Amino acid sequence: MASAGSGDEKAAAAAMITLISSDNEKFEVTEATATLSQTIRHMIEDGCTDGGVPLPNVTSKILARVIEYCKKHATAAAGEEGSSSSFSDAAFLEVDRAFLEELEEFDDAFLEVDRATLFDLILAANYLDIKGLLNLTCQKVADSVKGKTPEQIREMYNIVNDLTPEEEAEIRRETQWAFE
Amino acid sequence: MGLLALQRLMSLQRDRQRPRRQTRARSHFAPRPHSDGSICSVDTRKGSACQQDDDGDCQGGKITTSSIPDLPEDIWRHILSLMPLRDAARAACMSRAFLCSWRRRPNLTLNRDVLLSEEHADEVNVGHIIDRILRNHSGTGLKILKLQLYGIADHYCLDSWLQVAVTPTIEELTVVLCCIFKKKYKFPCSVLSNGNGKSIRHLELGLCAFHPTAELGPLRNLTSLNLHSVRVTGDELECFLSNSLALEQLDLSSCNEILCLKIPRVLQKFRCLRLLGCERLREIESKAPNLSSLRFDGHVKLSLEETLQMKKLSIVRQKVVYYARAELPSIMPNLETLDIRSNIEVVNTPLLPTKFLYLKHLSISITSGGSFSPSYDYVSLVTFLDASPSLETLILDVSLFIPYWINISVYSVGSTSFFFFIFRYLSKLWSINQFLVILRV
Repeated sequence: MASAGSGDEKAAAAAMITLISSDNEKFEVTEATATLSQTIRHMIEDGCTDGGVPLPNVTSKILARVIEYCKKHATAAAGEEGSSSSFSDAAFLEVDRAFLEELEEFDDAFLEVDRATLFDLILAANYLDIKGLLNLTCQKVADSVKGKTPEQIREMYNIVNDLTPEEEAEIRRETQWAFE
Repeated sequence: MGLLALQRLMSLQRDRQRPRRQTRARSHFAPRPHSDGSICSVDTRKGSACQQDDDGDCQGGKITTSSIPDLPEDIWRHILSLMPLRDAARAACMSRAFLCSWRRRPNLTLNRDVLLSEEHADEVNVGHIIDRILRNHSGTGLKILKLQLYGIADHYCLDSWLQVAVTPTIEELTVVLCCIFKKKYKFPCSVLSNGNGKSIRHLELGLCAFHPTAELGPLRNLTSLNLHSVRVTGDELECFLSNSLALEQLDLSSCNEILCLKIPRVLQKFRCLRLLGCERLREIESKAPNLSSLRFDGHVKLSLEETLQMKKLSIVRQKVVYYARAELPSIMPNLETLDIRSNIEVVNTPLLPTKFLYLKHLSISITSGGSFSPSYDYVSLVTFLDASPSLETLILDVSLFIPYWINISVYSVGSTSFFFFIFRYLSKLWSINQFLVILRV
């Protein structure tokens, strides 16, 4: 099953993992890409990836996007510990800036999706336990409410107000500083 | 003054070496803030989430999926923790679930800039706001607390804030006082005793006094300690360090009571030491076996028991360029990154056969301040290139402050030799993928 489809360079070295979406589409990815997901990492460690990894909570449309993210970030996230950023102030930052900017551009473009897709990506990232993707997508939601009033946010995200007017007034008094 | 004109003479990039650059980029790839690692996997159930029934704000168990649609409550809680503090506080009055999330927010960074809008910055009693936030916080689950009290004189109940907020779940604690108190506030070590410090990984203190006693007990998970402008003696610190066996990183700046810093041998994981502006520090003595990254400034005597592990070194002091070339290859032969900054360099760099076999990144900065030496020959820096066969990055930052009494022709000679240096060795740069020269005139 792990016959590398387009694996020209890494065919021999990199083990391939097959991911199966809820609508039964198969995706072949390298182990390095797949193990950005802690969930899949654990399955690999436990040796339960033969025959493919079924992901009943993730559609092929979302899985394709998740894999796109993991491929891009696999190199960047893998060896953080290997070289600590102890010299963060050194001019060497200049050297890597171009690469980081490229990664940021990718992330920005990646997040250009409608709300439904964004929520699906969040759920997939949570289910697959991909910390970077979860933070990225959740941050997008957090940013989207910046400076908005509670009424505006309720409307944006269909949040039902289950507080009594008295309770709400009391909480507003307590957090008055945040409204000033 | 007015003489600074930054010229980037050259920035040479080699696309073909891209993969190597990508590999190094990892080290600078910082995760987004607040990625505290335990986000949504553990969802403490609603009962404990909302224990503040007594004030009627937050009654347990009434959260329905309709009140927060589409996403599970624990993910919303995570999203709220990523919001700026003011936004999260305003969101508290949206529904019970959001109120609970606010009360249980795992990360609180409290300072003037975060708490106040610009228009109201002057009229508000910030201490009062902090007091309310901490007293209304559920008191459990707080993992990151940063109390940055600059410009806040009314911190009258700081001790009690810490007592309320610091629980066994705390992982990162920052307490920085306002400078008007002249470091007289003594950090109450007792708040971290009795198991309250069992999860703490990062401790940062600023502008206060730190006198750790036996009462504090060992902080078994402390990996990083940062003290700036803190009154602590070398002996006190040594005692504290020898009880912090997980420590990996120590940052000290402007801790002026320390004369001698001793890193004990028991710190097996200790790898990074950064010192800045500790004016009275005269000696660094490290027995830590895995120290691999060191940064310091000033004329400090270095007594390192283990130097073969050293990979990254940064030194700011006079005549360090000469020292680095003459001494370092034999003391620290495995250096990979070297960053040296000097404001006085009078003796030309010596030509020696010794090598930095593994040096990949080299940054040399000579900012000559008022003591420009017209006789210094920049060409002698070439010896660093000869000594470093693995070099990938070279950054030269050369500032020539030219006092008015120096004849311009002298300056011309200096700069000519410098340009000569660049062009003659351009041909050597084929193996270097980044070469940056900053010439300040």
